Amino acid sequence: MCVGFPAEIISINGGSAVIDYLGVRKEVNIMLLPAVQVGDYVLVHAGIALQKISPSEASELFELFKELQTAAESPLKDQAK
Amino acid sequence: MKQLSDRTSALLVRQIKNNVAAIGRKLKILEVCGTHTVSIYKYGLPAVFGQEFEFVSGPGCPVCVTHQHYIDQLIELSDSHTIFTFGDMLKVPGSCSSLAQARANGADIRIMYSPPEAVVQAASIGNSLIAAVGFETTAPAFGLAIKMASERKLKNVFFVNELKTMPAPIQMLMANGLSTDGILLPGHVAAVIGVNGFEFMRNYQVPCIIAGFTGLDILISLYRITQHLLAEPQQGCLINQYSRVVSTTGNPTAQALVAAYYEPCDAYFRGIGIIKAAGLRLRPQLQQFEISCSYPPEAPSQCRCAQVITAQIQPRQCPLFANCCTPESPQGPCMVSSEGACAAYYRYAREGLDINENY
Ligand code: SF4
Repeated sequence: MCVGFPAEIISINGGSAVIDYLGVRKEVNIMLLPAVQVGDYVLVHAGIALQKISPSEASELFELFKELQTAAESPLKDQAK
Repeated sequence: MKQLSDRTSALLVRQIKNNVAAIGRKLKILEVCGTHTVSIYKYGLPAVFGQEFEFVSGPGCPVCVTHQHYIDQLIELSDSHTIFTFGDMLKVPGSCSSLAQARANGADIRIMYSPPEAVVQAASIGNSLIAAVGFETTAPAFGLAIKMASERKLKNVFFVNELKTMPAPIQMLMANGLSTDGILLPGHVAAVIGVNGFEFMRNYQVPCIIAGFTGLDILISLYRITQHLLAEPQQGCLINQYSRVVSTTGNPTAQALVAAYYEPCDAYFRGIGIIKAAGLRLRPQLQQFEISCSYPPEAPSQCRCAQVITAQIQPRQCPLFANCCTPESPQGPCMVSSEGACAAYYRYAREGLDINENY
């Protein structure tokens, strides 16, 4: 019940906006995100846009990937315990 | 992106297993959010990490912690009111019936998609009740709904509040001496209250990760927990894994709205009892909109949800699990809610690993 879904803002009309979620268009309330703009991604829950989603996800994953590869290449010194 | 995810998942699983081997014992991981419960089972993580982790649940599924009498009261009020409720509540057993049964018997019970939308609909019909159930993620939606009802001075729309907040039940679990090696904190609650809302978790000597909900998010969170346990086993930490959605301050507009219309109150958690300051009720000047619910002692039951949602047992340790308690004939709320631990366990626990889907 507490799960939100990510959606793109397609158009804004006052306190509400049309969003696109996997091709489905829906109207949501954006009164809690005053600065939101067309093209932004938002987290939607119970018909309300709750938070802007930053597009940095891909770069975060890339950082993690590099970290893991370094870990995988280095010998597991604590392993013997 | 997908390829990166698949490769990352495989590397993560391997590295997590190495880390746990280095730590040298099986780790107990607590999640407090029903959506995390579902993700953990859906991605088959208990099977993948059978040697490494035991996953236990906390009281974070709003449906599971709602008192039977709340349902009874809504059913009683449905004689004289149209009821608007989230769909998850329909099948929850009250003491002798459910909202779904009442609806089949002719009560006007409607599923709401969004609380403000329910107010708009309710304004044009007779006496209406909005069942306000949820945690911090959902409270702002009810805040907008009550704002609307009070600005329009509606006389026919009422709220039966069962809104709850996350910090108090987590503090209660910790005060009761819960032993855990890592906690997954609910990402969408944090989207509203921010990392700041969970700062109090630094008081405990356990790694706490604000986590997202995909299989990859959870793997990353488990990885962070094990990395922390290797580096600083004596210390706790608070890490925001879900920074693409969760900021330090959360959503201040939503917080201000909730604070303007609600004040903290004690709250009843099914199977647990009253938890101090774990709920929200309308402020005194809005009391004409609230129908309050009383909580008599719960009827004795063989359902062991209370232990399931306080991280004491796994669903399969309940003698009713998969015997007389199934999603088709649930004996307790944890089997009703699609996000209840028992339902998630029933649905997914027997399936194998499928962590590559749904990125
Ligand atoms: S299996 Fe059913 S009866 Fe047992 S704890 Fe879960 S919901 Fe309650």
